[in-house]
Amino acid sequence: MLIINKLKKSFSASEKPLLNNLELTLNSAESVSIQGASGCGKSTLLSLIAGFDRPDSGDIFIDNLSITKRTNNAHDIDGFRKNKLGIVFQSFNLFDCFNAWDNIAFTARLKGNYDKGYQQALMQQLGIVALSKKPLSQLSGGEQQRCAIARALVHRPSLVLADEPTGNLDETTSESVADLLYQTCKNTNTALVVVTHSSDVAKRADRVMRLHKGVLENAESEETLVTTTM
Amino acid sequence: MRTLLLTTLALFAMAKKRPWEPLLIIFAIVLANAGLVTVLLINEGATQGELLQNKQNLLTNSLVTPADKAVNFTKEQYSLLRRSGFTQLIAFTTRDITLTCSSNKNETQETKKHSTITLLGIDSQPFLGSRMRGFSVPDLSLLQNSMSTAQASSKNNARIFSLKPSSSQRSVSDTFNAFPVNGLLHSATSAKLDCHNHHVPPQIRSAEGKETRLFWPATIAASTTNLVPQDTLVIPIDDFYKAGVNLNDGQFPLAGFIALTALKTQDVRDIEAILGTPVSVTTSGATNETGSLPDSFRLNLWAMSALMGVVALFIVLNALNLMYRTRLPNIIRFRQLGISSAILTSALFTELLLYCLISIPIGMFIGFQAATLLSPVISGTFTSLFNAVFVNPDVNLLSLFGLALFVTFLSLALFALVPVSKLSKALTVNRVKKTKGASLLFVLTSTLLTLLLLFAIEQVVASTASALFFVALLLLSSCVLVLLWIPIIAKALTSITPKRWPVFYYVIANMHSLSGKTRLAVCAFFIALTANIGMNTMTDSFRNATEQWLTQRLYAPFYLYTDQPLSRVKLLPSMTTTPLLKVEGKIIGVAGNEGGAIQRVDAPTKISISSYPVHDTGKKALVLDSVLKTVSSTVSGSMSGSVSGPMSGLAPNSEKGTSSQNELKGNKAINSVWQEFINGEGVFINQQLAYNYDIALGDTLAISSIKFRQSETSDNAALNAQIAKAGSEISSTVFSTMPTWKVLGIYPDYGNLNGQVLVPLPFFATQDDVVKNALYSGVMAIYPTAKTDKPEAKTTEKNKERGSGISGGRSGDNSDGSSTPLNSNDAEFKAEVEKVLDAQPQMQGKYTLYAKQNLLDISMQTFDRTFVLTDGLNITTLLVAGIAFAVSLTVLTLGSAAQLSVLRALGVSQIKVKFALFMQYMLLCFISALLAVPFGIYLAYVFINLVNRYAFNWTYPLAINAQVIVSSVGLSLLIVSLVLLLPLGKLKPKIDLRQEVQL
Repeated sequence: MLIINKLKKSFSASEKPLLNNLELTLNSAESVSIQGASGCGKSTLLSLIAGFDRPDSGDIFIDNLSITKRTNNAHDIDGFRKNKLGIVFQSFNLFDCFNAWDNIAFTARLKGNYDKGYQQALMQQLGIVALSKKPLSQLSGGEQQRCAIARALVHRPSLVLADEPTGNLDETTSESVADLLYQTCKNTNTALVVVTHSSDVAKRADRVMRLHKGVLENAESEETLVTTTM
Repeated sequence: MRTLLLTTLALFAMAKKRPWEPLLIIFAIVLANAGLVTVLLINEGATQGELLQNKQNLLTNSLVTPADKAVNFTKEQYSLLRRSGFTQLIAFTTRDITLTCSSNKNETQETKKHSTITLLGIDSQPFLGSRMRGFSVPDLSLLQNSMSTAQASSKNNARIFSLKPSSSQRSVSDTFNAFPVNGLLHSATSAKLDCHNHHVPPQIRSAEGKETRLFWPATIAASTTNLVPQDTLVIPIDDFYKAGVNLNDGQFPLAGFIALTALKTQDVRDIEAILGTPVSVTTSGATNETGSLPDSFRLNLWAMSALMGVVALFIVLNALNLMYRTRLPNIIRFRQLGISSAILTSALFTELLLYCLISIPIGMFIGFQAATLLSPVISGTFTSLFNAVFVNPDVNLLSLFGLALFVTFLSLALFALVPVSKLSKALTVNRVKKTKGASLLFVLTSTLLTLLLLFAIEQVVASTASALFFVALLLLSSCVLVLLWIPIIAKALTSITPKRWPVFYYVIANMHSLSGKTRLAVCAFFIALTANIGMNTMTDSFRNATEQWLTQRLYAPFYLYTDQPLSRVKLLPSMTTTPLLKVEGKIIGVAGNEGGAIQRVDAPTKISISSYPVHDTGKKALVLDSVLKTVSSTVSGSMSGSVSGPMSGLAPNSEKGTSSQNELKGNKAINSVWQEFINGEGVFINQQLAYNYDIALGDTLAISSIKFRQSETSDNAALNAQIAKAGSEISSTVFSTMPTWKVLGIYPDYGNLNGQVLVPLPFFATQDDVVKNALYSGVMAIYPTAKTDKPEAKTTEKNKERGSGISGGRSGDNSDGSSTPLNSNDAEFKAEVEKVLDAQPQMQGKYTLYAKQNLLDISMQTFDRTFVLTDGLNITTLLVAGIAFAVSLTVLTLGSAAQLSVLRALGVSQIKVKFALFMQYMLLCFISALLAVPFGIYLAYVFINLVNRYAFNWTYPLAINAQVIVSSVGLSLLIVSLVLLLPLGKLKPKIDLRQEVQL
């Protein structure tokens, strides 16, 4: 599903690379959470996976299609994002001109695979069916983020990228939203990459990884290492 | 103070962070001030021009001329007079020279730009080294310097004329030895002669009868001064006679002497004794004819500038709102940190003042440039249309800056008071209130009530001020309605937009929320476009009305314009002439149509009483708004059916009409009214007069002070005074029989700003040449003589009994205004008339013969020129509003970068995002434009029927021209789209996962 191969990215020639020969493989319906200190490159990694930015070297494949090559062509990469990716933002980033239903339907309509029944089922899973016709201003933060999750999944992407999906939510809502995110991705057979500072959110993933010195490490093994050393 | 300083500095830091917001404010203030300064300068230039025209000049003094016009004074006689102690006399001589703009060979084109001025040669010697009474030191110094024979070319600020003949006049054998001449020119004339540098040499006939062209290849450096009369170039007399210009070989005849001091009766007798010939002394009490800049022009200018001011105000307020919206969180932090509301308000106003201080000088500079750029156009318009002059104004920069600063800051501070106060008092960020939009029912009811209210107020408008107030009310209320309607329309559009096009659906849905954030910009754009449609529709209606009116009123194939006396115009019997005779009078009262007493008017004003021919063609050419329904009874009010309404020709076979019965009644009424008119039982008056004094059909006018007009060519003051002194009634001298002043009909008059009464031509007394010449207005209709019976035989007989047959200078001719013009070969006829006129030495080069179409073309060109300036301001206002609208939207776009970033992140391509934005803004503009159309048409109706009615006392039919409206809307959309292209082209929404969308 997602293969990251020797990914390198630095923002200035003099500095050490932010991502240094980073590698990751992720299968369908599998989830991975990435943690790390502020400025370690978590969001940069997501931007590279989403094709927002270009790596210095290395490659990223989604469904065996190279993203790196596509970043040279704006039309290609836009289409790629539209068809293959779902994104969940920290600040929800829903459109205030639409109600909840139209916000969720937007990506499916954009891709051209809008399916009312599928959206209904998805919203059912996320517990937001009753909010369909409500304007955005009447939704709480948790409700908005659940709408954002539905929007990221409704067009049946191969991969969902979630950047601090619970960053703007309180603890109780965070847990509920995180559960729904992981569960719905699993149900829809979608791979999920979650970048988060929250250990509670991170631990719900199939794999918990830590971005450190430009490479991804298994957070459990690191913990083990630290424990052993102590 | 320290807190204020720190707060102000912090505000500037915020401005630095988001520079486009203060830049938009500065931009709007610059534009507003540029408009204000341009209008102020134009008005000032016009006012100073008017003042210049009123000043006394060199020829305001007594003039001594030979009593016998065929005789000239000689150099010897002049010398004798001066030797005899008459040193206050200055010899002068004159001739006319015709100047043209280019050496274009196309004579007809060139003729339009011909300008004839009087070349006045005066003896400059007495001015050297002496002091003259009546002249100020600087004036005298200028006169002395200019009259000196020093090299002209070295003088600063002199207007240089190289009088080379135009190429069409030149022949290969002609040689020209240009010589330098110093001269003096009135500022008004200098402004008028903008491009006239070529000489059109007149034809002269030698003693042997050989015709040659009189070349005078001078290079004139003319200083401008108000000491000399208008349309006159004053030069030293020796230069006047250079290049072989003399009337008799070796002789240098003098036209007369200017007396620089008053001459007593004894002085005149002495002069006559010395010269041995009778002299005529004329004391010109008249100064230059005062060109009066019509109020219409000023009103137009001020209305347009007020409009621009309002639009600019909306733009600034919109920019301020946008800026304050983004500043709200920081302002709240200030308040939370303990900065008082008063300090914050002061800091915000200080910031605004600084923007004013930066913008106003830039605006003033642009205003000066614009006024300079426009001055040739304005000058041309003033000269050709209003007989007024425009000069580049001399203004005090500091006081102008002070005025601009005062006006700008005061209006901004007043209007920004509410948002500033709200902002400075905010302590917490209130949750964005999503107010429920107004329901369709509410909007419909509000619209209905507003329109009803407007119609009700319209009925009580009764003055220019209330009409202008109504215009303001209409614009503001329409603005409110537009703000109510845009969300409804946007919502309706959203509901019908197919959701399967998500980006387009987003465009429409987002436009709804955008309309809320751009209210003020939408208002500015809407007002500008409504005013544009209103003004253009009004101008177009006026143009149509004028063109139709002129086409109908110009009944003859040719019109002769000449400043020669009527008695000198001699034509063949095959050429019928109908001269336009005019006198002036004052309307002192009006008697009601039911035979009541005369109600005296509060302020008697001057009116003109003009002749109107009584032949059938004249009858058909008369355009009447309303005529008295009378055969035997007098009924006031407009006629219905075939004869009512504007543009009805007074033709018995009018094609208009709803039924044959009505038509019959109408024709009967028309014939009856016409018969009464030609019998002298009533007159026709123009709309201006009717509206000004609220005169109804059937009323009787009381007119006094009837006298001959003062004109440039004939000084009728002496004649008026002579008759007055003799104790005779001028009216009985003017009219062979006094007409009855009963109002039979009211006609539209678009060629005249003042009141006018039409009297049948045969009623003017024209047996005496002096009277006839005094009556003559300088215009004469010419057409081939009919060989048919006269249509109004009875009347003609009656008129002839009165002995009032008017002659165009031929004895026993048939030009009494009752002959019917015939169609003939126009070119042939014109050539024949010109041949006859050219054969008369007194007419050579002193007339212009216009074909009807020529006159129509010139009139329409003049019409178009009149509106060039207002059109320019109109488009500028639209441009300003369009730019501001687009800039406001761009600022909003920058603010909504996060939302665009989300679109990009979701896979919408950059080009689609840009197109979506473009569509969004254009749609908003388009909806505003659609709503502006009905209000623009209503505004045009108000301009025509209220503003024009009360400001200028005339109205005309409203003509709704789809092309005019579509072009206004199209132009506005084009402006917005062009302005949008630049920022949209540069827009590259950054895709960033951490962007926050502002809700």
